[in-house]
Amino acid sequence: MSNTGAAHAASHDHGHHDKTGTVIFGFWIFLMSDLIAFSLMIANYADAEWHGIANGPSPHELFSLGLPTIETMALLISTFTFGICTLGMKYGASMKRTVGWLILTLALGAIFLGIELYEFHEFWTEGNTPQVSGFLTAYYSLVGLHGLHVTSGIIWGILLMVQMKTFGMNDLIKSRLVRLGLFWHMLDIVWIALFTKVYLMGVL
Amino acid sequence: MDYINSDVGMDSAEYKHDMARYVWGFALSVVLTLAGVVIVAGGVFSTGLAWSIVGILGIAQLVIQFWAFMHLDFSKEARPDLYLVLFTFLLIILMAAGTVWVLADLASRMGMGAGSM
Repeated sequence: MSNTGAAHAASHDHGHHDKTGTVIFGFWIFLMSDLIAFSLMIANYADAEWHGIANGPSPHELFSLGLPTIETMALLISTFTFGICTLGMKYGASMKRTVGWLILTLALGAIFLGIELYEFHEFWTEGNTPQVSGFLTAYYSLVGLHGLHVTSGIIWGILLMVQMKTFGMNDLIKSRLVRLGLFWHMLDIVWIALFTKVYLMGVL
Repeated sequence: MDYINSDVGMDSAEYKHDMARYVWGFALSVVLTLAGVVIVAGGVFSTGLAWSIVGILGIAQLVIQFWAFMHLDFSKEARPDLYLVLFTFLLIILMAAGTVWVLADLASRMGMGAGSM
């Protein structure tokens, strides 16, 4: 009798895991569709950088590596701290510790955004607005789209912290935190492509 | 694989094993990023060669981060994710390369040289 009970508990447990797994796989499908959108924006940028300079500056004239490198490091550290956050959560870390790492991650994301907006402002006040050339239009929309994703990630993280305080660390909240983590890691992967294509190859 | 709960705590060997993967991913990412910056800023290589090296470093870092942070590997649990990612990259290569090809062809037919209009 106790055997049946254990078997039932195990199958129930299994069903629950499958649901979390399915939800996370569904989120992967969203991430991949987002990745396709980004890749087409990069393709558009690659062409605009090639044929769309018009009378505006070339990437070589516009970009320098100093600030974008600091920006890249901030985002890279933040993707690592989010990893520490979700890994600790899985192994039963306290909510205080989990929230602490999440706050650090979001703060690094905010530093990244701040540097990006500062650069936009610099270019803009030099007269390099999106209207100047196809290249600048493509630049602002590609990098800006990524910045928008980081912004929504920060808002999402803040909302999640409110939910943690309200509902406690139940399985649903944990699953949401894992999904935000995947989103954040994906944003860093997209940024590798942007940093390489826009800044490193642009300065060359 | 359970994504959100573990039977053991943070002092377990499993935790240390998982953490090692994140640390490796982070360390390699830092090295690859700085290597790219040094190559571009240093100007030791010709532009074409530097362009290729930086591209390869970027792709390497992309693969490393999928492995370290997003837990993509050849394990049975990660198989569906891996197939999804590979299919996505097939679509990306077709669509992104196709876009660049079509637009570049259009530009050449309209007599637009590189960097001018």
